[in-house]
Amino acid sequence: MNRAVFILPAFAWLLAAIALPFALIVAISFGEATQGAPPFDWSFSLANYRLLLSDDLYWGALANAARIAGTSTLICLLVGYPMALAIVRARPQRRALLLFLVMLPFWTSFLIRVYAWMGLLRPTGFVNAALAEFGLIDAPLQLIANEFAVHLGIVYAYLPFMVLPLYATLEKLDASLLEAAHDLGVGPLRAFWRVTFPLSLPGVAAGALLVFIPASGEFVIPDLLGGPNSPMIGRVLWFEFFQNRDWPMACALATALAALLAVPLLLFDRLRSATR
Amino acid sequence: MIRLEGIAKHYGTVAAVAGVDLEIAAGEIFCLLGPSGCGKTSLLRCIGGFERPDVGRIWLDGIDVTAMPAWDRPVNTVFQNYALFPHLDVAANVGFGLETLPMDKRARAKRIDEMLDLVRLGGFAARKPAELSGGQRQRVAIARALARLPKVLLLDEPLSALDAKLREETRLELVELQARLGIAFVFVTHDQDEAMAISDRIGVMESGRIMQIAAPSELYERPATRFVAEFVGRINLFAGPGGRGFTAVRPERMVLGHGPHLGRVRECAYLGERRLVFLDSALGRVIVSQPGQAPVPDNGVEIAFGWPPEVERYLPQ
Repeated sequence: MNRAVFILPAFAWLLAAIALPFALIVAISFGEATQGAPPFDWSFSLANYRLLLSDDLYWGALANAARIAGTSTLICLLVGYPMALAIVRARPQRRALLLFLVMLPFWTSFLIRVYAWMGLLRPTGFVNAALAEFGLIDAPLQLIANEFAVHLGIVYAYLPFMVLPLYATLEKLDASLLEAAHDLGVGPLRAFWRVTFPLSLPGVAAGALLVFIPASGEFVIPDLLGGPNSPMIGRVLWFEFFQNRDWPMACALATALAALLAVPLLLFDRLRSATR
Repeated sequence: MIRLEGIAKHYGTVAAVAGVDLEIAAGEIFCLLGPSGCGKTSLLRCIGGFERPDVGRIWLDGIDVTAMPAWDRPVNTVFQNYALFPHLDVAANVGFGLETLPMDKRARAKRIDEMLDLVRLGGFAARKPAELSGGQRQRVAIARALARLPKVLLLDEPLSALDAKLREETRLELVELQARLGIAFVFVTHDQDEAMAISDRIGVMESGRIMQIAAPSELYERPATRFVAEFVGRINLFAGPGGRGFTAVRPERMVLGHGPHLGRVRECAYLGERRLVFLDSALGRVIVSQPGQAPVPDNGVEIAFGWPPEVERYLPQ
């Protein structure tokens, strides 16, 4: 009885805000686009999925999304791990400040921060102006409308989601384990790979998921910073929905993306139950 | 084997270790005994290489190791919480320190087996630390620390996490193990019974200093200071001759029933083999320890007491 009181609101919320809308999306994905309002008819056709599987545009966009999100996740890990480690090893007062700094970007709207990157990276932007001013370049560098800018934007936006779970696991790590490794003749570098890193794997997995999943479906960053050459699935989805007004196709893409993202989640779950 | 010269270690403005000179011989069990915060663990950590002393030198087997990092020192540590690697099984924990030694796989596996046999954990090689009892975990920690065949084994409160019965068994096993290996064991403990039972010599520490270094019986019978006398067992302290220092008499050296002093029985505490009688007297509170089967005085009764002069000890401070 008592447990139900606490669980019920959360359950109702998940049902109303996630399960029902998602069921609706799946249902629409089997429908057909029309000219009316809403612009689809209910039916049960697999045509959208057949198209999705046969058209290179969609496959390519899914593959691009997975590739760009994957490399961005890796870069976040490579940048975020030393950050988390440094925060854990800082003096306690300094530690609070550093954590505050990691979270500080959240005080500004995500959209505005991506626009700010546009201002920095565009040919007449801050970076090019500064490089030209110092005589380092003659012509502006192409820093925007390419995959470099998309990676930069994703790493910038999602780095805190990597750092915070890593910090949480590293902070719980018993310092005497490293001392034990040193005591047993193992120097700092080898002790990191034999003790710290394996014991931080749950944090690595959590951080990687928190970056990879939203980055895969990311729309704003590739739209504002990316070029036309390698669209990510989020952008294609948006295009189907708002430009083509093909809601069923957009819903089929969303369903496929959700199904693909379930794979790393299931792997994470496996890993967690295996380490327990 | 170990020589410490003028070791001092500060944390901020607090002196954890305030000038310690100490020599520990090869093959002896030496115990650093003292209350929490006395600096005994800091001193052990200096020997292990986890802390660098601000002042002083540490010599191990004739080599100055003061600036040597922990991973190069020929000592190994049994940590208070054992610090077993939770992601590795027992064999990998014990073999952890062998990976950096020039040994082939076979020799390593053989050493791991020997160490597990030494601590009677033969069948446990594939277990994870989480699947072991507290006593078994401690034995893994000992096997892991001994696997590199150190010249000195450091043990930080090795028995404190065990329950009372296991603690007594384990301390006997440790003494046997030490006798078999013949290497020096340096213990840290706050438990005087433990220190007395296993040590060849004890260094009693207070406020970062070693107050007295002596064999257990010497420490008990001839404490150097009031602090040592009170920390090691029970003691009766009376004002010293001329009001300077203290006259100290152990409770079991007191004589009840005749003597120059009078006390009123306040309470008797029966402890099985002993009975403690607490008296109020003109000398202050007095504790007399009698054999458990001695007649019990009633509470409130006035009773004579005293002690033979040869058992009293003068403590200047």
